[in-house]
Amino acid sequence: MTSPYADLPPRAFWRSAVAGRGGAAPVDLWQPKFAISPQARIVTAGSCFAQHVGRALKQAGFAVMDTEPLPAEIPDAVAQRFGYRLYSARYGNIYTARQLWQLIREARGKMTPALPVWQRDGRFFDAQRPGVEPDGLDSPDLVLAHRAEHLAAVRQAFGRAEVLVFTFGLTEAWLHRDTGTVYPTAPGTVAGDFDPEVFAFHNFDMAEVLADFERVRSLLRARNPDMRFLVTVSPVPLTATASGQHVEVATAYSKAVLRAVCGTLVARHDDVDYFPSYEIITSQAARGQFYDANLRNVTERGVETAMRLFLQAQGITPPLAGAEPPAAGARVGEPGAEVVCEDALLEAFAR
Amino acid sequence: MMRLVILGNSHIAAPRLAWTEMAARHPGVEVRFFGGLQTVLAAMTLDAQGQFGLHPGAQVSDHDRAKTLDLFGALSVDLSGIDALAFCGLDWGIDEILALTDAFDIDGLIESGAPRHLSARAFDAFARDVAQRSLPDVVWQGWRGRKILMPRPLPPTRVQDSDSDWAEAWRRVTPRGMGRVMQRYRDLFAEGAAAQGYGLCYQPAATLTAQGLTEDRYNQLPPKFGNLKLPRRADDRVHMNAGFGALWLDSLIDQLASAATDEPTLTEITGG
Repeated sequence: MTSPYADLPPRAFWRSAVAGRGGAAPVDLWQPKFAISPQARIVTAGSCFAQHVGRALKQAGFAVMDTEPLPAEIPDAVAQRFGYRLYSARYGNIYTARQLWQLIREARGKMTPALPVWQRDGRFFDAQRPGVEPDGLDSPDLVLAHRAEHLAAVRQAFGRAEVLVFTFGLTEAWLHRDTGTVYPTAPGTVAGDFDPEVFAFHNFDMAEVLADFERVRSLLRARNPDMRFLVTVSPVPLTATASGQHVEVATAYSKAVLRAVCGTLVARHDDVDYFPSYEIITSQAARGQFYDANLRNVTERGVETAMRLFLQAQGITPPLAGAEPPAAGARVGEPGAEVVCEDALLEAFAR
Repeated sequence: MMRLVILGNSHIAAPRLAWTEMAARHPGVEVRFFGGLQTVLAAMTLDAQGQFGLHPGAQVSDHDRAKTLDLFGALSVDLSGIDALAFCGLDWGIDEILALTDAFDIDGLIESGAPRHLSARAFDAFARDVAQRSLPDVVWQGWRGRKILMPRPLPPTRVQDSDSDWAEAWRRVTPRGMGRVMQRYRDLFAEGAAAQGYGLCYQPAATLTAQGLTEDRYNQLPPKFGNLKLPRRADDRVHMNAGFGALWLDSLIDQLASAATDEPTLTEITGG
């Protein structure tokens, strides 16, 4: 009698591949579908965990685009407070595939978001990226003028990119009821006012997220048929949920949907690959060591472990080769590793 | 008697040349000058007795030691018991500000058709960072006496005829109307300096043109500095002459005297 499992390698079995391996994630956890050359122009976007991915790629010498650059003398910590150097353009965190699709369409003049300017304490904020000007701007007109320049940078980034690295973050979002415009944060969190007659909560399901990313892929490949996509799922749990469920249950749903979308995309398209940073960080073998004391923030060691594996699998010598990963307690958020995460502001509403 | 020490780089030449002519006008003031080129200054340290200079072990060449002796008559200066210490010719980051703003207009400050806009708050944050990094070495933060910064003079207007690389951003100052940007940075630099206990003595307003650069006549340099013959450099669009130095020193002394009047008991300076 033969079994289809008989000739499978050790990586196919939990006991040898996970339970028996100790804490370190093995190199063969990920076998890339395609190599990313250091010369390939990469555009990065996604939830706040994507900032780590982009930074690691830059440090490793990949050609991560920055279409809204600042002079090199400005330190990262100062630049990033204003949304610079986080992603390939200054769009801040993009938590949902719907928001990414919307941004690309807006940059191409195909749609205009509803209620684009939000207000707080007499200052004005770009509703689509409220975190990039933490103190807001002087007037709504200025917000719109800044956004017009930003959209030109978005067009440049996505128009010239050869690889999109996108980290799926959330399924929960807030929409404008009449138009369907999606926002990165709930109105009333960073700025704006929540009016239930105007805004509605929406928890995207798998079909919706899949369809949204398929649209993104189609848009970008229509311009560049050789465009490739590397997708990941953020291992950072939800700060809060508006779904009515327990936040842990809501997190499981959200991550399951996003992970399923990634799996489907990879199965459907040769030009889409999935990097399992989610699995590396959340693995039972890691025994929670890659999470901070709040069980939500990913530690610097976790980020480095994931990105080291990414680089090794791509045949790149990690820039910190020979150096041990940071101590288990080292936190993301220490100087040089600051992550800008608007959804963490929801903590302020925690009871 | 007010005892003042002015430390500085090559920009110290202007006030030093001026002082020989103007000392008689300030009988109650004693001024000593000390310093060197930037690389030599960087090797100087302050010892526990309040002596600042090239101490044993300083990483400088014999040539630089000899030059320091030739220029200032000593390898160090005694800062103990002085009433005020001024830092002359400090690189205060203004070039970095110009480079930063080269590709940007700034909300409310400048609208010159630059390809991108920077918000006023972002500019302030970036400029504060530049200012912070441009303040003197941390060793002076613990200095308990009066300390005054004399930021490097702005280039003369003829810098805009220069084809040097470093002058590139300055060539656009007048056409772009950068006066308000530079003024904003002066204010932010002053804030940062004050937070660390520094007073400021910018170049006098009388030396500036309406566009915010130094009048060309102050950039006409002498052939000699003390007993050193200077190479004539017609393309020197950085250093100023004794006429400039006199105005600057007057401004500094007035500032110190005014402060002394406001505060009858000057803080005793005991050294770093």
